[in-house]
Amino acid sequence: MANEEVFDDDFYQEDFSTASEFEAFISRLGDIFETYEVVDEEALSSNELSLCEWTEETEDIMFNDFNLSVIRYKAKIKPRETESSKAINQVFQDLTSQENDYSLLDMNYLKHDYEVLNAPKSPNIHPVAVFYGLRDFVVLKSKRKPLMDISQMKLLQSSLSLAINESKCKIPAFIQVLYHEQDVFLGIYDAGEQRLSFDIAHLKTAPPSCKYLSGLLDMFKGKIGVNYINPVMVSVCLTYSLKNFLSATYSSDKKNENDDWDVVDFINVISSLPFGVSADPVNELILYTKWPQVSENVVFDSQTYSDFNPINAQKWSIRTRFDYSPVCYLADMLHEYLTLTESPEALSEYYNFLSSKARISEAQNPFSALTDSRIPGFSGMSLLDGSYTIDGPLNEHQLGKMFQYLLPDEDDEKKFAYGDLKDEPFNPQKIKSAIPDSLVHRLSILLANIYTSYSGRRGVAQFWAEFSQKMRERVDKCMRIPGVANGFPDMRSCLLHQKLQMLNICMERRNIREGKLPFAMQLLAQQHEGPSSLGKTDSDDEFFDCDDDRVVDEEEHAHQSPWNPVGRISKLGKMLLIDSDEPLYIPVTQDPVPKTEDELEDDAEMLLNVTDSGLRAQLMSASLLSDMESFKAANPIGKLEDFIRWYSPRDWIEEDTDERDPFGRKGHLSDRMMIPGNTWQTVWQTAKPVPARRQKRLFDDTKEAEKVLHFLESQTLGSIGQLTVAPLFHTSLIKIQKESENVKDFIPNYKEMEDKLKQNCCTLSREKWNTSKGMSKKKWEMVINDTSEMELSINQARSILKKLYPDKTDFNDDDKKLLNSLMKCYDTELGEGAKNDIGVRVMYMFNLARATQNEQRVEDHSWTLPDPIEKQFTLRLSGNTVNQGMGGPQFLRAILSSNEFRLCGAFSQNTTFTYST
Amino acid sequence: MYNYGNEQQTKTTSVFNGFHQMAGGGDPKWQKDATDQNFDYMFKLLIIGNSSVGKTSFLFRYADDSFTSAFVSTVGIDFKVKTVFRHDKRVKLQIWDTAGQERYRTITTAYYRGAMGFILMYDITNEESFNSVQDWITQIKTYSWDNAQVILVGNKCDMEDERVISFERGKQLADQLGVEFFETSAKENINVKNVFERLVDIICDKMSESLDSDPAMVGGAPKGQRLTDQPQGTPNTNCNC
Repeated sequence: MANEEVFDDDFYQEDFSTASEFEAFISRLGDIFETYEVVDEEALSSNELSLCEWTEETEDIMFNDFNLSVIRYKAKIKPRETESSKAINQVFQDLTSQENDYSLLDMNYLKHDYEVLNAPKSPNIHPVAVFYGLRDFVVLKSKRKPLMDISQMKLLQSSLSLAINESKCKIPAFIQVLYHEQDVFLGIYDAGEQRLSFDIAHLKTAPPSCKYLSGLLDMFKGKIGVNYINPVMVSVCLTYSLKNFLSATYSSDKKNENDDWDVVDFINVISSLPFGVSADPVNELILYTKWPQVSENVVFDSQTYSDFNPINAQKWSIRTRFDYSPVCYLADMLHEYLTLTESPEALSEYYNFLSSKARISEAQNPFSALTDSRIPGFSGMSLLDGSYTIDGPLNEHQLGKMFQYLLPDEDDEKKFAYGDLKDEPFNPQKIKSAIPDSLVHRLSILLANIYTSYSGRRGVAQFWAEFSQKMRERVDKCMRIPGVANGFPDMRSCLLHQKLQMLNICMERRNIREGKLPFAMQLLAQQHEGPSSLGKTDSDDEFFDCDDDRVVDEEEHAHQSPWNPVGRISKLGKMLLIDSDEPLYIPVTQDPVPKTEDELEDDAEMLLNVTDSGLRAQLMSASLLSDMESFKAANPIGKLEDFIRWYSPRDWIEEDTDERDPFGRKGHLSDRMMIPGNTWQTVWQTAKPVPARRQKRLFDDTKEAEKVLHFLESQTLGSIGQLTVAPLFHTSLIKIQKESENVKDFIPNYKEMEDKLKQNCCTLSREKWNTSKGMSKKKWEMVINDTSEMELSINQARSILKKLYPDKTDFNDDDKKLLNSLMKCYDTELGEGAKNDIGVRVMYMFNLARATQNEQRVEDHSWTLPDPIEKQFTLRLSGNTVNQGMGGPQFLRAILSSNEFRLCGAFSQNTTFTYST
Repeated sequence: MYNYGNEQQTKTTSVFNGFHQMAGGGDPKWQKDATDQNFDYMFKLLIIGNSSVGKTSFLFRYADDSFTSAFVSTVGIDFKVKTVFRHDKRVKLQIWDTAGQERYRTITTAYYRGAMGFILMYDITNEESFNSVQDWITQIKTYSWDNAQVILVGNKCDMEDERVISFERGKQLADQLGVEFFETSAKENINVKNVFERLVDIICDKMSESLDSDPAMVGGAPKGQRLTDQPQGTPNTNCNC
């Protein structure tokens, strides 16, 4: 039994059917071909092969010492909605159809490998499909070294032929020979009686006989050797190239890198973001003049005479070619600005007065800030005297201009006054930055300009130092910072904006504390009285700054008249105090404490580190104590119950009896308020009747302001960059949106690009800056790719407009369709050929370019085109032969350009040798 | 149904296998957990709603499986931490309990930022607390990030006799707001755990959704969600000497 099995194995190992390597190869190839499913599909529509998707199936196979790939290319043809008759032979049908004669895609241009960002990907349509208009074929291609040896080619060709015969392969099969980039293919297709052989000749220069249609026709007919009844149908395309656009050349405004900044309009340059490209992104305009289908006997084309005058061509179409290499100014700036985020230098390395010991101890010890801040001679004050200097590359004039823009209220002209800073309505894609054109946005624009095109790190250090001193100055003078949103620090805005909001709040609180008008009312007053001395430090104020004395004073006051109510706002409805007929008064309370997000995080962190929940409650009870003291001051005989009735009405259970007290006095505290020793009760017990204004401040504006100023002064250059990256990208997005207004309608995928940019900015702006491995920087760099893509597209679109629609500003749907197609670099047809408006314009540009080259004037009547850069003739024959019955299709395409000549032939032969009569 | 905080019974919910019970408030054991870095994700959740709708009771029932008829009215804000398992990942929940009194709005809304989920609670026996739901939603929209998930909860559903808000009204409002809805009872332990589990689930779904949409932009996201991470790159205000 066992022996028998061994015998069996031996028997099968000795495979007599595939004796040689050659036979094994054919068999394997045949096996692969047999797996191909072929479905008959509808006729191709115009340009379908360029537009549809392609699938590739790859198998590997060995042939001698060649590693070959067998790749099947198949177009994904969408099923037609209306049923139409299917072809008898799909390959024949495709070959004779002229619908896909000229690729919509720019094959000459796209097949190169571009390393440049934004360049389009190589199209996936295969050259065989372009040359022959086929939708389904298989290509054998050597994986590494090209197939150069003639005998090997022949051997491979005959094996292919055998494999096709054996496997009844229903699709054309090609072998790629010579260098891959030459795109030379030899192919076979077997359709029973007819056999097609595909052959490509690729030369540097065309033989003289092949340069014109007459010679090509002779060659074509000679090659076929059979006479067809129908004449040869010819399709002709002459291609012209325009590269010199003269006045239609598109250029962006200069970046002014080398200009003297004082000569140009300095403030306009420094206050705006650059936008544009370093070179015309449209570097070539291609004109195709086509005769899609003419009969050989109505046209003549030879060296001496030609019927193919482009002006009379049946079809005109144009195509743009883009240069993807120009530098995009905005993207370039963003890219450069990101390098700032990695600078480790502290501001104090440039300006060491910012790190003076006095300043730091003051920031760390709030009491010293409280007591010392008004003493002249202190470093902060000395700065105000002008005795400090912040040297740097920016001169006084330049700084002055920049601060006119940043802090327009200090400027008499108020040329750059901030508009109404209204926050946008709820927007889930909100970028965590600041309101457009607010101070933080302007600041980031200035910094980016200073850093990237003017004076680098030193300039940033100087400007920031100057800015932080301006802030200090304003805090000292109690001058509201303009261009910052009102109210509490907005956590949806960036940290820098929150810090500035905080400064304003501090000043506002100080104003009120010192009995001055709040900012909003000051503004009104100012409008009535004209410019006044507002904002100047009033020396009288200094007496009111000492808190400790006041607490003592208040205690004495309270002792003197414990029943004197103070700090009432109004009565709380009709409510009366329990066990009395006194009304219940709402007290004046301390305002809530504003916090910036970093402070809140610290608070949360601290809470999270406190073990005992009772202790946490105690930590949280500062404001409760303050409110209770205010309440007691306003309602000297009030009880906890009364406080609760105002503060937490749900914890007062009114008795539900028939006689309800109209003044809300009958009832009791909720169970939870009666828990012995609960926070509410204990705090109530410790609360003294002290009106809000005499209480210890919950929010120490002096200290908080100093904290913010210290925050500004203690930045490193890198952190300055980090603080302003999100606002800068936000302003860039706004810039792009503004610049795209006229062209976005026809930029392909504009909406998608914009949404992606917005979404990415939004996501990243909310992330904390992560310096490890440059993580955040890398993420933002990816956003720059989106930015530069949009910037380039917008400039491409503008360049096209400048060339084709020099005077037009509004575009109808046809224009938009045309522009959109040109933006995709498609072969774009112009209706009515040369008579089309765009056609006339293109013609004019060609003639202008020629006239300029020859130093002539443009003559209206002598419009001609230069020599074509490429000529393409496609010759087709099919139908009945004169004496051999139905003939297979015959096909020859000649492509002539200045440095390349290509013949693509597909000739059919009758294999049965049967002659019909 | 009742008392399913018990370890064995939690196995019935597949998602939350290995559910950990945390010890009570003063126990040093859970305190340690507060600073514990050993987790895969951390979700910050907030419970909001009018005063005395039962937020604290709800949280205590979930975190400690305890109920007292009267908890001290929360002053300002407080929190509890609980770690759960979902798809073999340790998810640390940092649940912030807020004071409902109007006076505490400014303090509590400041904590909305960075919250990934909200439990918006009303009391089914109190019309006013139900009427305030819309206000709370506005607060969430104003102060939280857009991706925060919300669940509407009608608490005290054990007090059927005093009910003034029908289940249908709650459900209708939730549908209108586009959020999920539960009626719960912290006292009888009805749906408490479900609410948290559901919230964690929708946050996870949302998170994987955004990870799918643009993986390049969120690289290394999960750890970045930790509130306890030291802010990097944000300059320290106090030291630079």
